[in-house]
Amino acid sequence: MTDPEIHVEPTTTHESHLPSYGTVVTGIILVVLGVLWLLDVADVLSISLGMVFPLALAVVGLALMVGSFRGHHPGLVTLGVFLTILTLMVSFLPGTFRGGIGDREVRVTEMSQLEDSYGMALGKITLDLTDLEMTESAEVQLSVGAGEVQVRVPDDVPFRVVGSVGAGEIIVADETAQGITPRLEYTGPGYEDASTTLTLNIDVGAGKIEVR
Amino acid sequence: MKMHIGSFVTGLVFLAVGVAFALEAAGVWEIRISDLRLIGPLALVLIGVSIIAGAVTRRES
Repeated sequence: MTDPEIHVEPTTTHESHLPSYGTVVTGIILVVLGVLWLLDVADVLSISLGMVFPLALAVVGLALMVGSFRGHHPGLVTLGVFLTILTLMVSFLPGTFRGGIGDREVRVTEMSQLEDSYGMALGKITLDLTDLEMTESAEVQLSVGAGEVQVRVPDDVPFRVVGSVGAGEIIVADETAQGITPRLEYTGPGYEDASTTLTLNIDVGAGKIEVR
Repeated sequence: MKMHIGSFVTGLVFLAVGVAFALEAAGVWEIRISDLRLIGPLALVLIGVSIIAGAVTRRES
């Protein structure tokens, strides 16, 4: 005599068919980002990554806080970590997304040639301003993800430098700072009273800043 | 309904970081690489708060 075969019907509950909370939130964020991107491409809106990533991160954070009453959501945490990294990269190292890789040497002799910002993901930027005839004050942003920024300033123009490095060294005139997250603010003689000045804001993720 | 304190605190951190950098992008204030030195002490405070909150939540439940 054989035992009767026990056949168990797979039980399905209504809840098991529902998508997870994290999946729904991720989907909504992707749809919103896609629509914003489309509007940007169609020139309806002008949207910067510097605003999009932090806002998406804030939404993920809010969703996690609300969802914490329904349990753990590892998918949302992963998405949040990913968005945090993108947010930090865009904010601290804007050149990372447009600057490319390699060595770039720029020699500026006229004000019209001077750009507001110079950026690079990996490598060295050399900005030579020694022959620049400055007719008005200028502020320049330089950023490198990993590598070096070297600026040679004009002799006759007072300058100010605000340099930040994630890990590395900053040398401005005769002042130096080094280690983890060093920051150096240098204001040259005559800067406060001069009518024409040069201001340099320099960020490097890992590497060196040198201004002379 | 039991709250998952780890998710809540992580969400709070993401929200705070997101809002801080969104305001930076809007020009309200400036955040530099050197400000990352604040992460260490802030992380310690947050871990402490989450441990305390987790202990309180367990005791109440």
